[in-house]
Parts: sequence; structure tokens; C-alpha cells
Amino acid sequence: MIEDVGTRRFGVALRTRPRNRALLAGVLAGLVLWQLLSLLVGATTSQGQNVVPPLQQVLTTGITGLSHFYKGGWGPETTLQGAEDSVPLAALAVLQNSLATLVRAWAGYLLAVALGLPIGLAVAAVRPLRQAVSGIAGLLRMLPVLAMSPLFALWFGATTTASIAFVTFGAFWVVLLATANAVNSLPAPLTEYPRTLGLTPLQISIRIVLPAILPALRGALMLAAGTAWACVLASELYGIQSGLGWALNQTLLYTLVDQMVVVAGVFAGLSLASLRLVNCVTGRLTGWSE
Amino acid sequence: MNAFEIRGLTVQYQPGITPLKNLDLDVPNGQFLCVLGPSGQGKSTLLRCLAGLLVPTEGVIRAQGKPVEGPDASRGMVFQQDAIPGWLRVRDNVALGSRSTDEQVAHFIRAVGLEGREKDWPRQLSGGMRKRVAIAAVFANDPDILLMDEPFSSLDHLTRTGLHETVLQLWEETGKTIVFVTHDVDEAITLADRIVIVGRGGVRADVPVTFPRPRGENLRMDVDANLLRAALLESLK
Repeated sequence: MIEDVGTRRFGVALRTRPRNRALLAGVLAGLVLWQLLSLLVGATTSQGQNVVPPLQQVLTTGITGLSHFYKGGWGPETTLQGAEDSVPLAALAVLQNSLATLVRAWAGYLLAVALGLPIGLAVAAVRPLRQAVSGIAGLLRMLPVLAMSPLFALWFGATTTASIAFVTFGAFWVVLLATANAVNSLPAPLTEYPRTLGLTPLQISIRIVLPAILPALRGALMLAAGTAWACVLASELYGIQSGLGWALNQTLLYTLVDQMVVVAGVFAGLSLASLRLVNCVTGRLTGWSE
Repeated sequence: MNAFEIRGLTVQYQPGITPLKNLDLDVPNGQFLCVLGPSGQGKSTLLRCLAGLLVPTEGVIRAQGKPVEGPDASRGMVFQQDAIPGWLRVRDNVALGSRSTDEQVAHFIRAVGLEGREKDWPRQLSGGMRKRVAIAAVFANDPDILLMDEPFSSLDHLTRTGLHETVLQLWEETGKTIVFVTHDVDEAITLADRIVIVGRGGVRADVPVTFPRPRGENLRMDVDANLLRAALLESLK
């Protein structure tokens, strides 16, 4: 049997999704390294906690300590109402705050895509609009997006609306600019051909241009999802009383390093899962090109 | 009525670059016209003007008596580059046009030899098959006129020969007017009723081709065909 060695090698070289075993090995190596660091680093916080707490502490008090982030309303009493720290209460706390963050991140991201795609198409088609937007984008590029977070809290208050608006703002520009660039990079016959078949400009935008740019847009949609997660974290640092960003900020305020590690791990897991989902969906939509 | 009436057609991209200057040409309905010429002499520019994709600097083009003001479904075009959308399966590609009907789509898929491949993605097809998809899509949209811009220039000899037969068969079946741009003299002699050589801005030669069809390989041994080939090659210099 003849094996296409070139293709196989190329396939391996281009593999971006680590095999499960490799992923597991990486996680285990990280945990071992963490444990070693906790033994080597002796510095403590003002609360007397090791700045690199050992794994057994992270997996015990780091988890149960999250119970006080549970805000009630789902049945069990809160720690403020007298409940003791426990794993189930901590699980509820993680679930409650994860949901809040997930809703903000995904609502903002989907809104950014829903706005960025059509406006990007319009920007690519209308030269004055393109010039105007490139001017604004050039200005905004000089400003770190995350630095705008307090401004949104000021404008919209410490609300979920502010958080969603900020996430939308952060991810919108990524989608918009990538869409406009992708449209401008399309070969001319791809849009001229349907014109000679009698398709209207709207039909060409929806049936031809949008699917044609998706492969080029896939990376930008992933980047926008990453930006959305960075933005949601930043937005939850200012005044909002829920979400993983808020919980993380609280652990920082009280230097509860073991809890901080757990919250950061949950956040990283959720953002990674979200990126995987975006990758999977865009992969399915662009399956024709592979 | 002529399929095309072209009067005083001038296209100037910038001062000093004028591929077409004051070109006049009539194309009768049902004719298979081949536009021949060296590279960069305005063949594709002429075709883009006929399609309505390029607005001429001066002059008037009438298609079926109406001024050409932009692209529309009455003038279908097969491009030199691969232009069929890769995300549409063969059947959806052939059905892309605004005028196409299910019957027409099925008929032309059969006619170009793609029956059984309706659900394939374009990436699963060879270059020649993708050209067949483009040809079927244009015919299925039932245009009055077909414009073909060096559609087979990137294909091998055998594939080209097969596509020549397909195009001629469809042309004879539908009676459409075809304007076919090529730089290949043999391709023009094989296909055309009439060959127009475009160069130095205008029409340098206008030659009827009256050899009986099917022409094919036996035309290579024909004395008159070889004389015509020699004359055309001389005109191209």
C-alpha cells in the first residue's frame, strides 16, 4: 500500500489541536511544576498564605472557600445566612458566576459578530465609509481596548449591559476590520460571475461574499472570541457584583491565592471551551474549503 | 437584429494605455464568434465591456438593440479564472443564476456530463469538470448571449478537446450567440463561424470560417485550414 508521506508529514506539522494524551501530559507537567514551586517559594501574603499555595491547599480550601461567592436564590442558604463552606456550595458559586460571565461574553461576542459582519461588508463596498472607518480604527488601535473598561462602567453603570457593551466594543473592531480586509482580498471574478448570472447586490453579499470570506475570517473570529473573554474579565473588575472577573478581583483584594488559582482555572477552562466551540462551528461552516 | 452592435468603442485605462480605440463590430444572433489576438491587445477588455463589467471611455454597445449599461442575466460569462463558488455543490452551482429552472439545471448537468456528480463539492472535481460546471450554470440561466474569456487556457489538450465538443453541442442545441476570446489559433478555427482579430486598438482582421462541422483533428490535415491558420498567425504578428 502506498502511503502519501508528504501529506502525512504536512498534516502532522499543521496539527493545531493537541492530542488528548499530550494535553493531559502538559497539564500533569504543569501541576508537578506548580507543586515544586510551592515548595521552593517561601514568600507569604499578608494573610499568611503562601504566594504559590501547594496543590492540596488549592484543592481543599481553595475550592470550599469559593462558597462565599454564592449569592443565593438557587435554594441553599448563603454563607452570609449562616451556611458553612462546602464543596456543593462552592460548586453553586462557580456555576452562578460562570453563567453570569458566559452570558456577558457570548452576548457581547455574538453582538459584535452580528454588527461587524454586515458593517464590514458595507465598509468594503463604500469607499468613503472605508476611509472613515480606517481613520477611526487607526485611532483606536493606539488605545489599549482594556483601558476603555472603566469608561463603559461610567457610561452604563455597574451593570451587565455595560459588560456586554464593552465586550461588543472590543470584539467588534476585530470582526469589522477582518471582514473589510477579507472582502477586499476576494478575486474579482468571484463577484463578477454572479453579477452576470443576474444576482442582485444583496444576493451576492449573502450568497457569495459572506461564505467566500469565511475561511479568511476564521482566524479573526477566534481572535475576536479571545478579545471578548479578555474584555469580559476587565468589565467585571469595575463595580459589578457577579461573574468570574468579580470573584477573581475579590480573591485579589483579600489575597486568597488558593481561591484565585481555582477561579482563574475555571475562567481559563471556559474561555478555552468557548474558543474550541468557535473553532468547531467555523470549521463546519468552512468545511467545503478543506 | 444583431446580438451586438458596437460603435466607436474606446477604452483608455490611463494616458498611453488604450487597448481599444474606436472599434466597430456587429455580431449577428446565433453566431459563434472567436476573438483572437495577442496578450494585452484588448480581447478581454472588449469582452468585459460586452458583459457590462467595464464602462467604456467612449462609444456605444447595444445588445439585442438595447444599450449595455451593466451586467445582467441576458449576457452570461464564463471566466478564465475559476469563478464558481467553492461552497456550493455542483447542482447548487448550476442553479445559481436568477433565471435557472430545475428542468434546465438537470438538463445542462446531463448535457455537460456531470450526471451523478450533483452532490460533489467543486474541490472534488478536476479543472475541466469545474469548467463544465461553469458552462452548465451559464446555459441553465438561459442568457441570450454567452461570453467566454479564454475559458480553457489552463487545461490540457484532451480536456480542451472534450470541452470544445461540449460547447459546440450546446451551442447547436440552443442557438445562442457566443463570443469566445482566445489566443489559440487552432481553438478559434475549431470553434468559430467567424474569427475577429483584435489588435492596436481595433479590428485587424475579420474572417469567416466555413469548414463543415465536426472539425476536430482532421482539420489539421486540411490544406485550406492550414492556409487559414497561416494567414491568422501572420495577422497576429
